[in-house]
Order: sequence, then structure tokens, then C-alpha cells
Amino acid sequence: MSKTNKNSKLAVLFGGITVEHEVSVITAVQLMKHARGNYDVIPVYIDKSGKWWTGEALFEVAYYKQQDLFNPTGLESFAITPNPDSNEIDVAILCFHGQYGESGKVQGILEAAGIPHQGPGVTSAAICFDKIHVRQILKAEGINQPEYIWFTQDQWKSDEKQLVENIKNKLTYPVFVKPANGGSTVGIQKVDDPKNISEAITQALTFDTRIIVESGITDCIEINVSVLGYPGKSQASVPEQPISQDEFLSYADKYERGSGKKTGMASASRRIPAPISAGTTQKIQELAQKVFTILGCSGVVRIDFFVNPSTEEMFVIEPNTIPGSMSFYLWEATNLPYPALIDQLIEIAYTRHEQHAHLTQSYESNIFDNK
Amino acid sequence: MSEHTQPTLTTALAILQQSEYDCAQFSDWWERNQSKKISQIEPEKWTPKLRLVFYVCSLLFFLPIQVKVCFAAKLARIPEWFIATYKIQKAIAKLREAQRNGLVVVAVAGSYAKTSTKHWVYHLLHKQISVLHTDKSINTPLGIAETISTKLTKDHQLFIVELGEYYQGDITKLAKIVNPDFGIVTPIGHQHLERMHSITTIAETIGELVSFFVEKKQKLELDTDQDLPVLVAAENKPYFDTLFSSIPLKYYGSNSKTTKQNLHWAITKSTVSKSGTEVTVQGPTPEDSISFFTPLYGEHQATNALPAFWLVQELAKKKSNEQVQLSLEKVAQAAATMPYIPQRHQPHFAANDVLILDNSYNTNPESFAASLTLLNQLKPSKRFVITLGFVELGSATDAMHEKLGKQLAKNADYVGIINSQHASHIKDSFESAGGKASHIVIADTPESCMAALQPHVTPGSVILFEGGYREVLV
Repeated sequence: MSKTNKNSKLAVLFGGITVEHEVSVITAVQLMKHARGNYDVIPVYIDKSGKWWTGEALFEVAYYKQQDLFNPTGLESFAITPNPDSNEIDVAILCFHGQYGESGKVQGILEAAGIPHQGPGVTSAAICFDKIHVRQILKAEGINQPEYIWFTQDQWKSDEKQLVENIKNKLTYPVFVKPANGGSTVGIQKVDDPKNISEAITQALTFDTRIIVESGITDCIEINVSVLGYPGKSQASVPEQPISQDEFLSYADKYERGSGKKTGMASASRRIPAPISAGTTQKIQELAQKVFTILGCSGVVRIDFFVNPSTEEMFVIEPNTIPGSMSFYLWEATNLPYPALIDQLIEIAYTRHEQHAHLTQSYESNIFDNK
Repeated sequence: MSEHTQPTLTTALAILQQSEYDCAQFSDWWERNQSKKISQIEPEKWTPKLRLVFYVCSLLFFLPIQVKVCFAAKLARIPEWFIATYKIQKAIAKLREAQRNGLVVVAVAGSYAKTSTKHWVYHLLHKQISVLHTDKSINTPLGIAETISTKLTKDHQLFIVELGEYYQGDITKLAKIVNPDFGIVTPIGHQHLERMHSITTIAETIGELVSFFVEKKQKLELDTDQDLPVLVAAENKPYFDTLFSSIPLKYYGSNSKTTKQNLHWAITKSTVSKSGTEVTVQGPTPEDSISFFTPLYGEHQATNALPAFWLVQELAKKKSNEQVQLSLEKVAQAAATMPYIPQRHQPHFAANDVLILDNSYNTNPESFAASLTLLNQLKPSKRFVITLGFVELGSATDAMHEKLGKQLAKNADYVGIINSQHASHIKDSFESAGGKASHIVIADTPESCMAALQPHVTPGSVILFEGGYREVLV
């Protein structure tokens, strides 16, 4: 029997307390639109104050435009119980962006409740959401990435001068200042001049208490690749090149682009396939799958790179464990239409769940029986 | 929006500038359009020369526009000649000193692909050697002189100069100014046929660059077996076999076009996709087989890279005793970051996977064919072409436009023709060759053509803008 049972009750979880709340809503509404014909879709919306809801109205973008998203009306309260087999959900797809649902917390709730989801699991989600941990793991595995320095808020307060000096000596300007946690490009700043570094770090500390500063990479273009699967079985999409108005992708670039007019048509926000050779394409796809496996990812993930098209040098920038729009546009370009992508995500969810179910997690014997 | 009136002095000056101060061309336009009601056309740039013409015209207010514009244009040549002569001589002195100190000069001549070739050579070599090139399409004595005066520094090792030609003798004149060490001759085509009257004259004019090197070799009394330092586009072989029958020349091009020719540097394989173009090239020895990728679209674009490979080998011979050793591998690698060349199949990426190809710099029957090949290679869901047709084809105009209509019927799903005296001719030919009348529109501007065709655009369409709209005015 196929794991993608078309009668499955599919919960789509989205929203949450995050600056990327609206983006998550768009991702979920797109996904539900393509899933509804094939599955019994249950929308599970977490509003901006953290309350969980469900209801028919959640299928339409228009609903969110009319509501106070801190206190939405016309919905039913929704809850998941950790008691096994007590939830009316067969499988879940998470469409969160940002800390609330992308960093492992909601994955933990689902796993405690025994509900299959596309992943990644708690550990991988948490690691991938932490830019410092990602760097440390990839460094240990010998993956090429930008040089970096990280520190805490307390270290900055006590030793600002020394840290600025370290950045100057170890890294190459321009540098990128990033809060350790945070999806999208929220809080990320490019600093060209060392005299502006303190101000940028102070600003980044309003988003997180741990900061990472990375060297800028020259002569490279940004290339993104999506990977679908789970460790041991994955496939990589056609690569894309984001088309940016600014020097690096800002939040506005990613999500608030106007319709740049060119001969009466809106400009594309990405170029698919990316302008790189077939050889470079293959290498970056292989690297993306390697990074996916190292970080223990599953589901649909997008890994962002900087690539020098001439030398084929590749630098991992970051993984996105729940990418915007589930990177469906990359999979469509890889001959996998959105409904088929959803089927695959559900299959991955069940496979992961079964793999974990087969692991030894408890013993039949009871040590209390031992005398 | 400006009102339609009979052509004003400002319009006349704009047309004069577009005609490159050629009174015959200006008068031809004026006689065709003086009684029509048109929008005022602004000059592209109010240069000192155009201002001088304007002031002289203002003094001659009592004369008809055509007469005073032509008179003023001729009058302006006198001070211009003195200024230009001074600037050119000054630039020559600076250039000669740089050449004595080792600067290598490469001249590029041809009907089309000069600017693209110049950009290719620059990009492929500039990370290994300090290169200067003339900007945009600057290719006149004064333009080249200004580049030398303002941009050439002691650090430059290579200077790539584009040579322009409108009349016989132009290339000789420019070659004498820059005294090149190497020459690249890009394809000869039908551009400027109106001024030159025959393709043979065009070939002879562009061939002046080859003649320059022949004379230079004779003057220097070089070994007769020594090759001329010139690389010629394979398309020119039929012309140059006649013009230079006793001189062995080296050619470059695509093997797919010229299977029977023995090319010095050739493209042996190319694959076009929406990523760009994968290319394999073969040089003079079996070891010179190199593959590269470029984001630019089409074999015809990659062909313009071949002179850079040739030049690397030639420079190695010339610079054998010095520290300049260029790597062919690095040249090939640099192709992967070749920037798009403005208005030469420059892509614009629109939403819904719609690709807009801007080839609006200019067009001719040869390059139009390459554009249509590219359009098909990109495998679009629908093929759109928006064009004015050809300019400066003289007596061949009607036949060329008839052929164009047939080509469009075969290679485009939808066609927008920018209104000109040739528009209905192209449309008739399109329809008689099987193109649907509902699939071709005639409109005043590229934008209005696009607006009329936009309802037919589907995801994955490719829209080609071919040829210069501006030139409709002349």
C-alpha cells in the first residue's frame, strides 16, 4: 500500500509568533490549495499571539487580510494532545517560517503526539535554525563556507574592542552581521567599513543574544538548491539564482517586491535554471545533498550557496528547513508538480515515522520486576 | 505626450545627429517626412557639435529648415576638423609612447559583432593582463583619440580598439592612427549597404585592416613565411579569398556553419539552454581543445570569444621573453562570468518564466537568422518577435524584407512589426508564407506591439526584440 493514502487527514500547520508570520500564511495557503483535492486537509493556524485555530476560512488569503491576526474571529480552537492515537490527524506538513515553528518546538509536539511530519526532526530543525551551530558542524565536516566569528551578548558587552579587532584580523570586509537565530534575512546587515561594525552588531543584538559575523565572498553569485527526501535518500532540484535589486537579499527583496515592469510584465524574482554550467550544476546538487545529510535534514529543504562560476568554488551560506513556498517552483522546474511534491512530503513523513517506530526505544522487561 | 506637428528644427537636428551628420541621409529623411505630422524627436545628446549647428541655424532663421541644417552641418566641420586634428595628434603621440613601452594594440573591424568581440576579449583576458578597450561602440578617430587621452595609463598592457567604417578608406585611416599589433576581422554583412552600395565595397573597406598588416609586414621586411597577425571570421572567407588570394589568412568560426573550412580556432560543439551556452572549441593543435560555459545565449555569441583564445597564443609568442604568460584555461573559466552585452541578446527575466531577449542594438539579415536560431534553441512555449525590419540595405531592401517575412512565418508564433515603410511588405510576406493574419500586428512602437501581443503570452514564452527602433527615423 502506498504511504500516500489519499484519504489521510492532513494537518497543515502554519503562522506562529514570528516576523515571518504572513509569509508562512502564504506558503500554507498555496500548499493547501494543491493538497485539498487529494487529502482531507485540516488547516491549523497559530495566530500572532500563539493561539491554535482551525476552520474553513483559513483556506483563503482574503480571510487573513480582513482579520486582526493577534485575535482572529470565526475560527474554532484547536489543540494537539501528546496522548498517542488521541488526535484526529494522520499526518502533518509544517509550513512555518521563523523561530516559532521552524526551530524544532512544534516538531517536538508532533513527535511526542506520534504524528508523522515531513521533518526535519527536532534536533536537525534546531541545529539548522542556529547559524552558529550550522557553521560549527559544517566546519567539522570540512564543508567550504565563509570565515566567521561568533560571540554572545555578554562577551560583546565586556570585550567589544577585542571582538572588533578579531573581526578585522580574521575576516575580510565587507562582512555580514547576523543574529544566530532568525529565519529569512531579518536582522542581517552588510558592513563595508570597520567603523560601522559596532553599530551593526548592536542592532543585531536586538534580534538575538548570540551573533555571528561572516566574511563577504567576492566574485560569486547566489545559487539556491532544494533537496527533497531524508538522510540516505534524497534528490536535488534544478538550481536557481535569486534576482536581487539590492546587493544582498533583504526581507523586502524576498517578500515585498513590487512588480518591476519590463515591457509591461513583472520582473522575475529568480532565474531558473541558474546561469551556471551543467558541470557546476551537478557539483552543487551533490554538495546540497551532502549538506542535507550532514545536518540530518528531511522533507523539503533549500540550501543557499555562493558560487564562483569560473572556479566552481562553492560556499554554503545557510539551510532553510522549511523554505518559502516549499520551493515548489524549483520542483516544478525539476518536473515534479506541486501535488506530486506534496505526495512526496507525506511519503517522507510516514517513512521517517516508521523508521523511528522500528528503533528500540524501550524494553519489554521492567526493572521494577527485578528483585 | 507631445503633439503631432510638421517636423521642427529640434526634430531635424535629432535626425541629423542620427544620420551622423550625413547631409544626404538627413535630406532623404526630410524629403520623405517634412509634410507629415509627427511627434517632436529630441536629439539623443546635445553635444557641442550639435549646439554649434543649432546656433548657426538660429542665425539663418530666414532659410528653410533643410537648407540651413545642411549648411550649418557643413560649416561645423571646419572648427571640428581643427579640434579633432589637434586631439588626434595628441592622442597618437601618447599612444606611440605607450607602444614603445610595450603596449599591445588589437584592432577589431567588421560589419557586426565588433563591440561584442571587443567585450569578450576584454572580459576573458582582463584578470590576467591589464586591458583597456574603447567604450560602447566608440569607433571613430575622435572617439578613439579621446579614449587614449583620458583612459590610457602606463599600467595598461593591452588596448582593444574598435574600428568603424562608413566609407572606403575609413579603416585605413583608423589603423594608421592606432598602428595595431594584431587585427580581428568580425563578419562582413549588409550593414551600411546604403552608403557603400555593394557588399564588395563593404568587404574591401573592412579588408583594409588586412591590407594594413600586409603593408606593415612589407615595410618591416618580415619573413614572407611569417603569418599575418590577423584573425578573420569564417563568414568573410568568400570575400577575402578573392581580395587576398595570395595571402594565407587564419579564420575563426563555427564548424557547424563551415564544415569544409580549415579553421584556426573553431567551435566544434555547442548546446544552448536557458542556463546559457556550453561550448567546445578547437585551436590549431589537438591539445588546444577547450570546453567552456557562458551565460550568454547562442553559439553566435560564443564565437566572439574565439579571438581571445587566438590572442593568448599570439601574445605568448610576442611576449616569450617577458613574464606575461597567459593561461588558456583561465580564459575559458572567465567565460562563465561573461556579463550580458547591452542590447545584444541581453536577457530580461520576467515573471512566469517569460524570457525577453533584447537584441535591439541593430540587426541585419545575417544576425536576424542567428536570432531566430536562438529563439528555437531556447524551446519556448511560444515564440514572439518584435522588429522594425532592416535599415540601410539600399536596393536589396525589398528582397531582404520579403525573405524576413518568410523566415518569421517559419520561426515565430507571433510577430509585432514596428510601423515603417517596410511594415506591410513584411506582413504580406509573412502571411503568404503561411503565417496567420491574426498572429501579426503592426504598431507604432515596440511597446504598442507588445501591448497588442501580450494576451497571447504564456508561461515559458520567449519574446525577441530585434533591431534598432531609433533608426526608423533615418
